[in-house]
Amino acid sequence: MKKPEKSSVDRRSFLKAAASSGAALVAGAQAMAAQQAERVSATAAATPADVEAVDEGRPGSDFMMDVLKPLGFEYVTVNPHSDSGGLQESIINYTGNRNPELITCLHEEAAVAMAHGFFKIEGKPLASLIYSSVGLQHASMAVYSAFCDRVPVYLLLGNGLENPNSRSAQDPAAMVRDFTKWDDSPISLSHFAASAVRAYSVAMTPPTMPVAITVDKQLQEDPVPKGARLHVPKYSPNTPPQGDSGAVSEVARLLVNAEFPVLAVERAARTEAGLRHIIELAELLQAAVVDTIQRMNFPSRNPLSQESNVIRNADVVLALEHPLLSRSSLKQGAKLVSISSFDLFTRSKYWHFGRYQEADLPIAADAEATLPALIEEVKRLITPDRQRAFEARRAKLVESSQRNRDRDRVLASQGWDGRPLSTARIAAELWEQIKNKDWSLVSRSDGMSDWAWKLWSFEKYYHHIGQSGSVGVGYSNPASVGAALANRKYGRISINLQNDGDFMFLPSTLWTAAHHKIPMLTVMNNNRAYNQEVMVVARMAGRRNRDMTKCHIGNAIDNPAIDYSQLAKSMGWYAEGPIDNPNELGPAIRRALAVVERGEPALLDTITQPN
Amino acid sequence: MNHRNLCVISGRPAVWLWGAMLMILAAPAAFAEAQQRSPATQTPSADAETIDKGKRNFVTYACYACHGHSGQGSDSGPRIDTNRLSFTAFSRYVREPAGSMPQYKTQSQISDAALTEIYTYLKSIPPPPDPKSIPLLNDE
Repeated sequence: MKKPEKSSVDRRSFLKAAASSGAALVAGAQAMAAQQAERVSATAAATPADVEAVDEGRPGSDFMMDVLKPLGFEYVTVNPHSDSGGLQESIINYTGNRNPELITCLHEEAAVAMAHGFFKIEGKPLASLIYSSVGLQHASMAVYSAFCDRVPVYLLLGNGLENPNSRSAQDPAAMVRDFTKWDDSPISLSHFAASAVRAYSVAMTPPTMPVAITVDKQLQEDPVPKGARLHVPKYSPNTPPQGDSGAVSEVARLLVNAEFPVLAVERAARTEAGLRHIIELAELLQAAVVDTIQRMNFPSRNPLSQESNVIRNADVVLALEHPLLSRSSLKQGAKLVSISSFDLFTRSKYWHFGRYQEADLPIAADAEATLPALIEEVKRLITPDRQRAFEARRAKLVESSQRNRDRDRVLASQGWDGRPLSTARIAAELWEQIKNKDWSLVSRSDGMSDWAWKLWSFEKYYHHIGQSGSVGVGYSNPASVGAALANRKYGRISINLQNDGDFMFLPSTLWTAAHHKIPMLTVMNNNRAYNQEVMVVARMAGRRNRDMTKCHIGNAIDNPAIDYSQLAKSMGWYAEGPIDNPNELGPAIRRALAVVERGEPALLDTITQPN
Repeated sequence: MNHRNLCVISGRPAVWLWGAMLMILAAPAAFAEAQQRSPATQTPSADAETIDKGKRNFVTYACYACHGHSGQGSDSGPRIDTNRLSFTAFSRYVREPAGSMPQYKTQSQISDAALTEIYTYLKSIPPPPDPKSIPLLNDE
């Protein structure tokens, strides 16, 4: 890499000069002239010593980039702030704003949620450059979502204590320590190097989670000390923890001998390989698979994919990275086996872990890493007799799957031509136009009443990105842009089925997508209310024998109705709508997809039925 | 039935609890059972004005929020556009529902007249098309 020449301009003098200039602007032209004269004088007086200081070495933030660049961050999401200026400048001018490239975000929550969505497609974390106190408070909800969803996000927290300002913090990472896996506040460049690489390693070792490194402003801006012997540690990924071989053999024995085993999968597939392993295990056993679609664990149209009520019939349930599956959902006497990395690391404060699971055979290990050994053991134990039983089981599951699909078609036909639009109709119209393309659903996979999941054929790992983890509103819009950013280099069409309530948390994310030329199609699920909360209030009013006609208050997003099309256009998107005529839907999707295929974002504002 | 154990209620942390509540709320089995028990009596007249009032009441009393504007159902409530209940049974169910459906117990909460109009509106909704006749729903 070509490194820039050392500048002969002193950084501190430049900053002093800039500060003086800023004050002068406020004071007026006459005062400015006086200030400038003073500044020139001061600079001239200080020049020899300061030039010498700069000649001592390059800025600390350049070395920080020497550490961060080999970790492979493609992008750094940022909302700019004063305490990361050194690092931001090094990204721009030292590493040329390429691998990583800065992605400008207009809110810190968007910066982190974009990183969340990016990882779900690419399997690599983004770094987010966040202002220590004020920025991290904005970002904290997105950090919590990533934590609950087992997604590594790499937080770099700019902070200044040597010359503190009103935004400086003593220990900024404390704010998110209850929902991050590890953090540190390096006090030297060598400390930074070790902790930055350690943080990456910790984040990427299952259970994967967010980490935070507080990056001192002065450490970024000061020159590397003369004679400093700095070393960039080599990162080697940890081997993920596999289950004990004896326990794995016992699981295989239980599964092969079971009359009706069920694989209950939540965050089981971390990668495409995990998806293939789950398919192989299910098909070896002809076992039902119940998927909570938090990850792309199993193909939606595989006939072994079943609804959750089959768990009641199981004599053995294998829960893969599914710590919330309750024993109470099993029949009496059924065995519950768990392979999960959940107990290998968790935090106490937030009850994302639910009730204690009461598994008969809990294996603390990464499910994806353990599956190959389990598959081999199952193969070894299958006898011809068991194989015949498996085939009979398959036939029943195929029948059940077909019944479910037929029922879904009937349900989808209801309100087919209605106004507002049926969400099933939107999903079907979209599928018709993307099914022969390389596509990716980048919003919550259960959006629009699960219709995409019911009507589309999800097969590849990138076909959907799961859900938010926290069920927090505001995740989907920025996460979808992050996932679409990851899809861009593969030329995939990213589809975002966007709830209106979620959208309005961070509408500025649209500008980021347009500015960075991130192609994606957003289809609004614009039903103009938090409709499920209407029901919650109605239930309260009913119980209290009060007025039932005002339950929309506090829940409706209407009067005025938000014009999402105009909003999107104002931020550089192609947009159409509002659309409430079902006959206009197909042509509008066709026009919008043409825009996306030429590399731009497009939005359709569709007026929809409640979920 | 929603086959996810994560409900789609926006942004509230007690996920498993909400999931359980929604399963109860949907209560399609209870509604179907009520339909089977119901004698087919007392069908109100279906003039256009009554249907129109019923459609408006369906929104005013927030029925649409769970059952959809055309009674087609949603994640939160079952399909009711094809209900076979008599008006008497329908009214009884609304006044004393099963599961977690909001209870419209008294005349002050919803009058019999308004309920009659809603019933008439629901009865007027034409049956959905045969899914086999919709090419977009027959993709394999």
